[in-house]
Amino acid sequence: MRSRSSLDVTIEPAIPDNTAFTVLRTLRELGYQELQAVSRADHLLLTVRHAGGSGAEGPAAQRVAQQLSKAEVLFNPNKHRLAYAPAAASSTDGAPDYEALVFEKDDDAGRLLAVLRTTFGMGYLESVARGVVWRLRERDRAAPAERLHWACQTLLSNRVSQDYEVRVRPERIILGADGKSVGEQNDGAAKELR
Amino acid sequence: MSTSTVAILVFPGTNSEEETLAACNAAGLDARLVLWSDPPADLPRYDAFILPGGFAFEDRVRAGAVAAKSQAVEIVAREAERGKLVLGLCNGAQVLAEAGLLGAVAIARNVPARHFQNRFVDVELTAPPQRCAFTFQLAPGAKIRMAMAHAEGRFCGDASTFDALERAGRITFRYAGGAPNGAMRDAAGVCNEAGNVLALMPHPERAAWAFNLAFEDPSLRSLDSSTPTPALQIFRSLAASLTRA
Repeated sequence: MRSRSSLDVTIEPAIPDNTAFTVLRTLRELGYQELQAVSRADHLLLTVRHAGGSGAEGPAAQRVAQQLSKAEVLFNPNKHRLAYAPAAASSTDGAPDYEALVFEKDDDAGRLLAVLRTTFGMGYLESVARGVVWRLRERDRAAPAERLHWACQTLLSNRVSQDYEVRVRPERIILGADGKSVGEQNDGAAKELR
Repeated sequence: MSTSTVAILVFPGTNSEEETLAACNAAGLDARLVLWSDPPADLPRYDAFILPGGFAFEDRVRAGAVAAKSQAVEIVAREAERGKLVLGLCNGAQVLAEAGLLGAVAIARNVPARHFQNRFVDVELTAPPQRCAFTFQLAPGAKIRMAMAHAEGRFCGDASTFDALERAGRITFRYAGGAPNGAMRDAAGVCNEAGNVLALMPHPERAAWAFNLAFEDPSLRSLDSSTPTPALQIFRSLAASLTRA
């Protein structure tokens, strides 16, 4: 019997992100004066097929993330940080942190899926969906959901060609350079630009 | 020589302003380069605006998205509402779409391949020449070779929106032989309802002279390299429309 699970992956710049800085400036110029920091990450939602019974067990989440990082198609260890979470995970402590996920309405990630499956041995992948995750911070807190909606409608998403979703940020685990998990992603200040 | 003046808006990352200026000059237009940071109060003095190609603000977020929020584009949009002529070429077309000057039409990433495409393409005038200020001097059904150079050039929107565009004659140009970027209805250029705003993805200014096309078309090699090509008619139409106005 086969089963499926989803894996939420973000690939974010580990170096100063000029695009995030431009968004910070633009949103402030458009009136969002409380905005202090913006961060951005490429987002992948992977559907992983697990073969039970006679087949081999599908790889665990960390193993999938490791393989994805080793492929270095989407990820450059010199410039990026890769983090992952089971898709159902969400923040648990305190007030929820929100993030906006923006994606193309008619993106076809079929070629990417084919490359990952055939060239990089990730044949257990059933589908890939990609987008961009945005996180906004005010002085001492994550931006409230309504501000993310406003930012998406104003700049981050095109209403004709894209869709967006404002959601509670899942607790993601950062994959270290050696392929081992190094801890929870905590909206790292290093990537935020002021 | 027309006494009308044309502003060619230059953003950080614009890279086709000189070719656009040369094409305007050859069409008899008095065109000036205007920086995005110049005093915006001066902009309404111009009779027409061209947003040239390039990578304004490095295409950050989406091509044209950040420039579309600038004060300069806000003023251009206001002047377009008043009937002034606005031409967006490639990145300029993306800025116009992001600024909402085309209605519910977006210019999105190419499909099926998402990569940058750089080639010459033939585009066909598929609306009546009089429908748009920038095609006024073209022959009906004219086929023009232009330079395509973009990764985000796919005109898209709801099917009903594109049905309405077709009925209204707003799909000004189409790619002959099919859109290499996946654009709906093979659209290469879309104008607004009034016909005073045109968003054109391929570059006419990079194909306006015989030397631009001689590599592709050996028959042009016997000509003087500065012989104008049909692509220059876009700019001559602009000049004629301004004179007519």
